Amino acid sequence: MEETSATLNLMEQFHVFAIGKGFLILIIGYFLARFARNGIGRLKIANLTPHSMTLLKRVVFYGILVLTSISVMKELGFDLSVVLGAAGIFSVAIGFASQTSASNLISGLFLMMERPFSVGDIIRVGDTTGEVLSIDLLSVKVRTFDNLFVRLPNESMIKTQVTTLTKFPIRRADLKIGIAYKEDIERVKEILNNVAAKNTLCLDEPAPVFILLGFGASSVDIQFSVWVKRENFLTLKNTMYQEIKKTFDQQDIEIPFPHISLYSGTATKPIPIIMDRENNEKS
Amino acid sequence: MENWWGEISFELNEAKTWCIGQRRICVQRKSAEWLVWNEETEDESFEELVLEEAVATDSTINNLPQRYLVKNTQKCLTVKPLLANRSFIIRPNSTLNILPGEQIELYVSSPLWLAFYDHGGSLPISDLPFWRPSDSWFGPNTMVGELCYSKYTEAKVTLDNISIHSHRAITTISISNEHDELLAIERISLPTPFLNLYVDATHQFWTDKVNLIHHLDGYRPSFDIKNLIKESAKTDLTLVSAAREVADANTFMRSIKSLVA
Repeated sequence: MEETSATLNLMEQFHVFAIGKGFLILIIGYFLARFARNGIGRLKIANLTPHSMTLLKRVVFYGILVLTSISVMKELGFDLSVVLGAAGIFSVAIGFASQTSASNLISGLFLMMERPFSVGDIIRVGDTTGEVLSIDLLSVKVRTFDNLFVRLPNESMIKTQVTTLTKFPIRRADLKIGIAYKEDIERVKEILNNVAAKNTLCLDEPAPVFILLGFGASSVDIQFSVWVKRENFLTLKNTMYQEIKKTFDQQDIEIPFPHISLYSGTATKPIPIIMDRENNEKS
Repeated sequence: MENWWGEISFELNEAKTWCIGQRRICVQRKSAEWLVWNEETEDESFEELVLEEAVATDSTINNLPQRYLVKNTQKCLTVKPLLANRSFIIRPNSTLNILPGEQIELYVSSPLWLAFYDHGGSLPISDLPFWRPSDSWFGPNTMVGELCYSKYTEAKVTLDNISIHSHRAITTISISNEHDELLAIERISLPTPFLNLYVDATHQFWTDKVNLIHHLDGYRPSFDIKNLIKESAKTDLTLVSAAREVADANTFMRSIKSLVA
């Protein structure tokens, strides 16, 4: 009996009970946080994007863990005001060291509020084009079309131009075509409009646009812009170029190679070249 | 004239073909699968649609069939003509100007789709257009609107002028200008997915009637869809297939802001 009470006294001196209690609270808190996170995950809240759902789950999980840690510290007898004071000084030091990260964090918050794109959209930032995998606190993760993983800091997204390719349901494909100078432009315009009308993927409205870009070095440059459902963009571009080439061949319309005419002067005949086989000279 | 729609019986390994000129859709019954061949043509043909007994080999048709697997195929396949799965844009050659206080009727035809249903199924095993119309866009700008079809439509003001084809359905659009100003119409978006399809005794297909009213106090015309059997003077109409989508007021508000641009 005396030994038991002596043992108990010793344990109390070493705060064994308090530590044990603290551990128990921590474990219960951890499981509670996980349970709450899974529970939130199963709820189907309207208008919540997958990204917002992930964020909410994280906030709930870490929120419960933080509360649990605070209650554990109280249980262990820590004076929270001292901890908070130390945290304040610590955060000033961290703040100076992590200016870029803080900037990324705040940029991320602004991006979330503004929502120029969401997970699953295809964006172009500088030279990088790809599908958005996740929008995190400090960066946006993108998968390029050749399956590379790119991390774009939020700060760069706020500062530079971001193009969201999947924002609107239809898209315009600008086809660059060059025709020989000898061709009748009106006839080519009619042929191009017929090719667009025959292609079922090409939208009848908005109507295709024929733009004469100018007189190039080797050809008359034309831009023929056709509208298409966003998902069919690549298919339409390929089929239109193929059909235009095929129709031009059938109608004898020349797509010229780049070529240069050489003259020795402004008003002289072309430079003559004579092959002298006997003497093996060229003049 | 034998119906090419409805309950079509198939013996085991029997094949049947729906032909419009060179355009052919062939279906063959096997013990645990249905095979569907789809032989398309670029240009639309206006010949009569005939249902032929095809030879049960695939040597006559060059492309590979689509295979639809089931546990056991039944003796009958339900064949239904359906209207387009998107709205249709009707664009008259020149702007239609409807005088104040006038009411006119327009007749337009739109192409049909051919759908096959396995016994009692609500989803078709195959849903093919006879000729796929061209994609188009209907909306106030390129950011907001809906994808539609266009082309292959004729808008006539008298029924006698419209050509009758076995693979197209005729829709009557009634436009009433109750305003005191001219109503100018450059294009109309026909809400085909919300219309029922009927057939008359001459095997011509018809759809529900669409009424457009330009009110005196309204900014944009309002419209509604009238059941053809109740509206029409014809007594020989039979419902062939119900609308692809069920319309309610909210659907129209969300998907079609205005039928008239």
